[in-house]
Amino acid sequence: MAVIYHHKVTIPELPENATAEMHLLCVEVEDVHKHASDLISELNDTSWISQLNPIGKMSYERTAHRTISALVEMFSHIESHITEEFGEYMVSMSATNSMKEKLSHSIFPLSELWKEKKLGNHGFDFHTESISKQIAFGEAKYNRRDNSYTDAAIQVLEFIKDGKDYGDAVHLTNFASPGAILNLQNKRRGFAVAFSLHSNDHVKILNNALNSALILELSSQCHELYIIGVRS
Amino acid sequence: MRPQDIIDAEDPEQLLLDILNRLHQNGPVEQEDLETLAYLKIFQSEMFHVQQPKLMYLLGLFYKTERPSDVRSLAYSIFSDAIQLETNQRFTPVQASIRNKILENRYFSFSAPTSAGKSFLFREMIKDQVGDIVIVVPSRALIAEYILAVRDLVVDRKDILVLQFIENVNRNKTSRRIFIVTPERASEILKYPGVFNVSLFLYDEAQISEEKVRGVSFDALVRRVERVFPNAKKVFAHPFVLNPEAQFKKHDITANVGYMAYCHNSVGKIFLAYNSTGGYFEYFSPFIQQAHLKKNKKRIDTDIPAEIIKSGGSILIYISKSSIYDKTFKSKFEHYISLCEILTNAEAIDIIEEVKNIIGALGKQSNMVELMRFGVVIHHGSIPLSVRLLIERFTNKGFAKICFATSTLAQGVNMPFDLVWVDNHNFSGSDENKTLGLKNLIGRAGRNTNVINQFDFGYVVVNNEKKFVERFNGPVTLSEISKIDEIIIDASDELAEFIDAIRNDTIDAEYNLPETKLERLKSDFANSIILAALNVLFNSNKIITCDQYRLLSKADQDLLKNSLRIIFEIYLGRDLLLGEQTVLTTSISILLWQIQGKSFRELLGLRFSYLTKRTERREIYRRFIGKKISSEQYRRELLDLKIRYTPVAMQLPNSDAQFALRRFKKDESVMDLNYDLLVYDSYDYVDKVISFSLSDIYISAFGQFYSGTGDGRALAMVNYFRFGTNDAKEILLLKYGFSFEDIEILYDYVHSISEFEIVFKGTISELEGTSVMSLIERYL
Repeated sequence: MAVIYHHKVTIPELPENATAEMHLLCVEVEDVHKHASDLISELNDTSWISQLNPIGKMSYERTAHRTISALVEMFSHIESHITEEFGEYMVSMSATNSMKEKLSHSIFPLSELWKEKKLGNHGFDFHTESISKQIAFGEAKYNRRDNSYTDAAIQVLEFIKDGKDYGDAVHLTNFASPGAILNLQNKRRGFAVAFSLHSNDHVKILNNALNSALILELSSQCHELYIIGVRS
Repeated sequence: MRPQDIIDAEDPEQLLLDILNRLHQNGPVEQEDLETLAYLKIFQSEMFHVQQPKLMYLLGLFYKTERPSDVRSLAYSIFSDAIQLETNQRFTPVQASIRNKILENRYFSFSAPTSAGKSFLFREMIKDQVGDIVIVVPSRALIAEYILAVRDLVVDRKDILVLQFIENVNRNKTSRRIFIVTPERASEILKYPGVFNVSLFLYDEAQISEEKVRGVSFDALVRRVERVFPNAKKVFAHPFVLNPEAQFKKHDITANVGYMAYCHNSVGKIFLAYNSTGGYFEYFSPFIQQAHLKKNKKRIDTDIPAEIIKSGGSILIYISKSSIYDKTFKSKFEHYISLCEILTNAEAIDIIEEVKNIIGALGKQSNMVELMRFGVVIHHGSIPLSVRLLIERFTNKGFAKICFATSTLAQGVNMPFDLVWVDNHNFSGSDENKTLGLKNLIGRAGRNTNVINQFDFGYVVVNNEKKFVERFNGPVTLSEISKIDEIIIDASDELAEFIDAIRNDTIDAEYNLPETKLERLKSDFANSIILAALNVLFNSNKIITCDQYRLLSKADQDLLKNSLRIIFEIYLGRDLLLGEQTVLTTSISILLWQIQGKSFRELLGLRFSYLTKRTERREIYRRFIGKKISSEQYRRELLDLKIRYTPVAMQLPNSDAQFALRRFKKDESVMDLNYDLLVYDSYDYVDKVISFSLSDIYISAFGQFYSGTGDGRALAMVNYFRFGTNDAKEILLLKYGFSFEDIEILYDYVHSISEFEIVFKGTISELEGTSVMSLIERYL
């Protein structure tokens, strides 16, 4: 993964009613296989089955390698529930990693990412904490063809309406710093809109996103806002 | 959760997702979660249906999954594929883990619930093991089940000898042996340290170590095996115990040890309380506090057992043996029995006919057979084993709609039902054994089908939910001290001498009895008694028939009875109580019938005639036919004719048996004899009294007498007790695992037989296509 673009939106560039400090980022996924491998390990290492040691390491690794390769292959050709889930995971992972790399955020455990969630209206996909001790609530959207920032932004706005950010607070106390929790209680928190980006001109796409009505709306409802395009 | 709260859950989807998350982390170890899943499957079927494919992966039920359609299932499919790659089987993670640990450790002890599929795993492992295997199981019913399955597995391997006792036969053609035996018979293996290359001892249902008498034999076996076969792998398997490692602590085994208590379930259960006053059912959950309170239950209007029967399912009703014997179970469950229609399936009818044939029920009123015609079976330990196996086949084929059973069924026999009704809350043994018995029983509720993407669940009905919950939630642990070391030696204790001999290593290898007992049995006094018995039992070196026995003078009859009693008393080191004596005497006639090669059916016929006074009945009939009495008088005279006294069969010795109870009531007419009761009682005499209680004693008494005197009559007695025959060819055929029924058919086809091989005549091809042929094939 490489963060190929980071731009902190300057005051003149900020939308009129914006309350948020805004960042635009573009991430290039270089190794899909590694992402697939990380994902599978993340899932299987936390599974009850691993604790039982039912099989030898060699058999497991041989099979895992085959399955991961099949997943990567599938990802590049096929549109299915699996590839969509994987795509979304990759967007989430890349987004959080870029926030860590460029903005020194701490990332909350990924296992949280993989809890079974309701379809449609499940909750945020990922969480980080910024150096100014604000929790960023992230939503990732993957689409094989479109630059899916609109979908991601709609989702975030819906969550805000449903109060999901505060709803998650109890759970987040396990990971966030006390300062961040305090900020959250005082309505100081950020949002991240991460999406699959399909264009060589990522600056244009990110600027389009920045100027879209939904992002404008979002920028007035938080203190930090991250727009992250993920290209694979 | 309260059933009501699951059914009315505001957010059932979240409830389900939370369970899926817990399953991912911990596996299916919380029965309460599987209970909730069962409710959600019923009450939120559409939503549940969507998650079911993933659920199969999360439960580790890989044999009922389809291609993964989400990332998590895809990840889990790696476990599934890797297990398949490594084992060549679609094992569950629990099965694969057990397999792995057996391979890794020299000693492995584990527990797993009934539905974990350990039998399937063992059978597969047996196939791959190198060297001889000894499988120790507690009952002959389990032996029979294992034998059938293992023979099926190795059907194409004629070099593998599978036997239900330990014999060194078919030597010319055998490269490996699999013996499936009870702990009592397993000690035979100790005679062959340099002969058999035993690589694995598998102690299945090893919680037998907790039983008072059999626990001593079992633990003695474990210790002696350890001394004679120290390098063989030892595996102990149990259902539901929390501390399987106790087996090692009992015997101070410390190196190369592995253990694990698996509590992973695969089938959900819904619990119903039956309100007998109102005649309705209520949902309840044994996993919550105060489960029995009205506010925690939810009444339902459906008669679920009836619905199951009507839709072709099957139910198991756990009842007391006494309610089977006095037939009260019939009136109690009449409502459900009446829902069962007469069976027309040809295979079902064939099985019923076979049962009828074994118990000689032709022309007799057998309640058991009559009920079977309607798909209602009775299953308990006093039903002849061959009949029990037929009943199990009948049930597994789906012909039985209701099975009335006692604890025998729960002891490991593999029969699942859609619903288990715990009508009788009595279980035997200590509190922990009772909990184990109950758990084993309800483990039968819910079939784990092979249907792809289907989460299975069953129902458990209880009459007394408060009592049930207390017992159900009780812990089950094994004692860390062996019964051998635990019991305080008390001179009056029947076991004391045996335990002492085990401690001092003075158990005789030949007879598997304490040397002190054997010493007494070869004293001059004992020899004079044995000689006296032989002199009555044999006439010109031929054993007397039962009819001849009846014709003996009373003095001779008494001499024989007393001799056999005294031999028993010498063995025991005390006088027999009156009750014990009565049972022993009754068993002598049965023994003589058996010795004459009478089949069980013939034995029943003879006992029936004797107990119902056949001669007197005939005499009355003759007078009626000769018009000397009216039909009214005929009936009255028969009604006035009472069943002869016979004591209830029981295991010997029994230091509580001051008196023996009557099997049939004193004033019961011969016309009213309950034929099934006669069947059960006779089987108890053959099984519990002769085979289990007397054989070993008389084998050692007569065996030592033969060694000392060379008296062939004594050797004949040993053979009669050990094999039921004194015919050399029959004995060898029995050692090859054939039954008397098989031998009857194939006896004349045997050209020659020795411990090295059987050579059949060319005419054996005449048996092609018969069931006996499938047994012969492995020796051809």
